[in-house]
Amino acid sequence: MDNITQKEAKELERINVDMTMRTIANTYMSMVSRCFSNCVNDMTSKSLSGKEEGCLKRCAEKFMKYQQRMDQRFTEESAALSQP
Amino acid sequence: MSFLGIGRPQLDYDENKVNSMKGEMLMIQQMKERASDLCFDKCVPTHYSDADLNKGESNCVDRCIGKFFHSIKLIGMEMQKGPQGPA
Repeated sequence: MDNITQKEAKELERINVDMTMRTIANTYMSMVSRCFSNCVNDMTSKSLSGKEEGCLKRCAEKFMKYQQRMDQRFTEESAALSQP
Repeated sequence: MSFLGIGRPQLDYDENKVNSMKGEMLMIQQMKERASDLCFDKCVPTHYSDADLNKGESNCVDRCIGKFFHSIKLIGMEMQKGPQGPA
C-alpha cells in the first residue's frame, strides 16, 4: 500500500465505517433467514413453539461462534494471500 | 475544477486512489460474506442440536476457509488464462 494522506485516511475510515454497518445488517438478516428457514416449519400457530424458540436460540449462538472463528481464519488466509 | 461555478467541487485527496482502495475493501468484504455462507452450509448441520461448535465442525470451518482461498487463487489464474480451445 502506498502512503496515504491524512485526508485520504479520513475518507477511507468513513468508507470503512459505512461498510461495517452494512456487514452487520447483512449478517443479521442472513442469520435470521437461515435460522428461521431451518427451525420454523409449523404454521399452525402465530407464536413460536418452545421447540422452535430453542432451535432459533441455538442456531443464533452457533452462527455467532462460527462467525468469530471464520473471521479469524479469513484474516489469516487473506494476510497470506497478500504476501507476494 | 470549478469553472464559472460549473462542475463538481475539487476534492482535496486523490479520488482514484481512494476509489481503488474502496473497491478492494468491497471485494474483500464480499468474499468474506460469500465464504461465510458457503462454509456454514457445508460444515454445520441444520438440526442445531447444541449452541457450541463441536470439534468436527471447527476443523471443517478451518479447512473450508483454507480451500476457499485456494479456490480463489486457482480460479483467478484460470480466468487470466481465458477460455482454452473451442467451446
